[in-house]
Amino acid sequence: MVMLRMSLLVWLTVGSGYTAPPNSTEPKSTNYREWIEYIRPSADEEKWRAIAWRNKLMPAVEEAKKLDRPILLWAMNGNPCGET
Amino acid sequence: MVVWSDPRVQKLAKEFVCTTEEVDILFPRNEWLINHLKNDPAVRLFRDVYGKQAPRQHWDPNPQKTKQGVYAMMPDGTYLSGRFVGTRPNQVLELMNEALEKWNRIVRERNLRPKPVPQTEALSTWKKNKREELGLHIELHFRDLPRQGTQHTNHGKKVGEHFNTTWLELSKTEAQSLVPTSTSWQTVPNNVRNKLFTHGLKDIVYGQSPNWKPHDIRAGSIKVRRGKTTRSGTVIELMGDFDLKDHSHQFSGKMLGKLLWSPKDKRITRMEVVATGTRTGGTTFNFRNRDEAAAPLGVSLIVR
Repeated sequence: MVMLRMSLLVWLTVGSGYTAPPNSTEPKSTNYREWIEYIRPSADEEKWRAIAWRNKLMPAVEEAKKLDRPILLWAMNGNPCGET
Repeated sequence: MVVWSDPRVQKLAKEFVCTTEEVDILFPRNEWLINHLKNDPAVRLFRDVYGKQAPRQHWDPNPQKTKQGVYAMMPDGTYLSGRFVGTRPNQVLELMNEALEKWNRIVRERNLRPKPVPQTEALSTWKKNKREELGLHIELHFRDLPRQGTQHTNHGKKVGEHFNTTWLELSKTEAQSLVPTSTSWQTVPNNVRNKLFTHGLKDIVYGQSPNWKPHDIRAGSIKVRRGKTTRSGTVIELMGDFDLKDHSHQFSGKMLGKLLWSPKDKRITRMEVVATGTRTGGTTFNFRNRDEAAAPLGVSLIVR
C-alpha cells in the first residue's frame, strides 16, 4: 500500500519546477524525470498561458461574433501555441 | 513570451478573444500557398480586409514581407490596432488600449451587447477535443542541455534559456502499439517509431525545422514493456535510441521514460519520456548559424 501511494505521488509531482540538471545527459531510470523537469517550461515560463489563448483565427472570429468582442491575434512564423 | 506574462497585459487581454496563428497561412508568401489558400476565409479576413485598413507603419505593403505581429480587429476584420513584430509590453499595452478605445466606440455605434470572454486555460477546448479524437496528443518541449565548460552557445545565447513547444498526434491505432502485451521488451512498430522520430526529435529550440524524412533515420528503435500495476493503471516502461541525419544536421541519442495505461479509460493517460543526445548542424530556419558544432539537446514528451 505504501508503494502504491508512492507511485501515485511520483506521477503527481511532475511539474514541481525542479530545474537543476542531472550530471549525465544520458537518460537513466534515476534521472529521466529530472531531465524532463529541466527541459519543460517552468511555472515562470508558462505564465503566458494565463491568457486564454485559442490557436486558430476563424474559430476565434466565430466566438468573438457571438460575444460581441474584439479579437487579439498573435501571428508568427510557427504558431506561438506550438505546431511548429 | 515575456510580454504575455506582464500582469497589465494579462488584465487587458480579458477584453479580447485572444488567438494565435501561423502567419504564413494568413498571409501566404510563396506561390504554392497563395494558390492553395486563395479561397481561404482566414486569408481573406486578415490579408484582404484587415490588411487593407492597417496603417503603413504597422503593415509593410510588400507582399513578400512577413506579417508577424500582434493585431486587433473586429470579427468582420475592421481594423482596431496592430503592431508589426510588436513584442515589448509597452508596445502591446499601447496596441490594446488603442484597440479598446476604438472598440468601445463601435459598441455604441453598432449597439453591441458584449459578454464576458470565457477565461479558460490556454488551448483547453482544443486540447480536450484532441484528447477525445486521438490516441495520444503529446506535448513536446525542446531545450539545449548544459554544455561542458561554457554557459553560452556559439551564437551568443545563454544555454538553456530558450525553449520551444509543439504537439505530436498519434491515432488510436498508433497509440495502441505503445501498449505492450507482456513484461518482456517488445519493439514498437516502425510506423510509430518513425513518426515519433521524424516529427518529434527535431531541433526547434530557436526556430523551425521541417520533419525528418524516413530515410534520415540511420538507426534506432523504441521498445516497451509492462511494469507495475497500480490503482491508476499499468505502468509501461519505454526505452529507445536514435540516429537521425540529413545533409545539414544530425541528432542522435537515447530515449527513456514511462507511460500509464488506464484499464478504466482503455487508453494511455500519462506519458513522461525524455530524449537526450547530441545534435550538430542546422536547418534553414532553426537559427543555428554559428552554433553548428556538436552540443547536447533535450526533448521532453509529455501527456498529462
